[in-house]
Amino acid sequence: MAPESAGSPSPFGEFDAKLARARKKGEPQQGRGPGRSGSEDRPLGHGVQAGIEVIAGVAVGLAVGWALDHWTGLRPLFLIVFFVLGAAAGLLNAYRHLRRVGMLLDGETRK
Amino acid sequence: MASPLEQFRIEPIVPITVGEFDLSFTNSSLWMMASVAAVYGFVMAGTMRPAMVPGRLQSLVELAFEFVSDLVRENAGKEAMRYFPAVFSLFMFILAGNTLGMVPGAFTFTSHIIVTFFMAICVWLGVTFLGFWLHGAKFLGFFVPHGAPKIMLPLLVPIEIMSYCVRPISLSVRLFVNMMAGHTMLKVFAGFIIALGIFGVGPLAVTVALTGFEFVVAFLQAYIFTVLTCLYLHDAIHMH
Repeated sequence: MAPESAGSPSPFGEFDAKLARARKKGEPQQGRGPGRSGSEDRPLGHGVQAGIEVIAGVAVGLAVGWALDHWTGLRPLFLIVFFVLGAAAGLLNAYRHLRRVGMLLDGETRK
Repeated sequence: MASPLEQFRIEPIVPITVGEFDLSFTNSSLWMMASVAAVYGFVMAGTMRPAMVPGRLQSLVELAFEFVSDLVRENAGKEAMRYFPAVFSLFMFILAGNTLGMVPGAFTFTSHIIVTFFMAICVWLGVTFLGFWLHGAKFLGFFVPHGAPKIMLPLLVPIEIMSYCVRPISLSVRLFVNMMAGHTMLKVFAGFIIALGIFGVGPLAVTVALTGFEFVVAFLQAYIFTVLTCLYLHDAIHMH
């Protein structure tokens, strides 16, 4: 629509400048702020969520390990390996969740 | 007293069997269609006659639109606005499902893990696909934590991959658990009202409070599902 490639000043020049300024002003900082997620919901929910993350991690680890054992016949090698991996992943997810919502109290990770 | 879990039973309305598969049109399907119709009707009615000074319905639609678009921009960055339609549909569908489930006698399809899991796995597969599509094989670098000593990588990378694979599970379990627990609790307390006779005033008060609380949860869980979708989108686009 607007002849941007042409050298002549576009008829929308002033409008474009205004638009650019407005866009810049309204532009939120990139990246994952905790956004509004931290402020408006309850600490209990986040605790429950951290628990769900740990359980989900262990459950997925156990399921994958069990399936691989079943498949390869190397019982209980994969069950053990994936149980540990899953538990670690679950804890990692729980930690990340709490860090994201700003519930960890050490200053370094807060926001 | 009816079991508090009876409300989650799937009842076929129109039995359909294709080969060995049971593809019946159930109460779950019915309420899913009702949600889609509600969202579609809501958005269409709100934007049918757009006015410079919006009326009530138009304001609501604009509010929902801006709410989700802010969410996407804040949590996933401006580039993610390309995927806004998908995120908006997801949010409205879950929100409609959760709130329609609050209608007495309605079926809450988000209280079934298979429904929430399907939505979560779609988000997860889509986001993973997007990551590989945008970054190619470099997306695998997402699983290498920054600044970790090289010797730790054989241990850390599998943990990161596992942590990534757990995402659809925790995403779906959260929504399903919240909806199921809330509705079960509501039913349990409601069941006490008649059983306790005059003392039923106590559980009645609790039920009233819980009903309000459930509306908050219905919105909050749709919101959280959407925020996490945005965060996963952020990971796929920005890779850190």
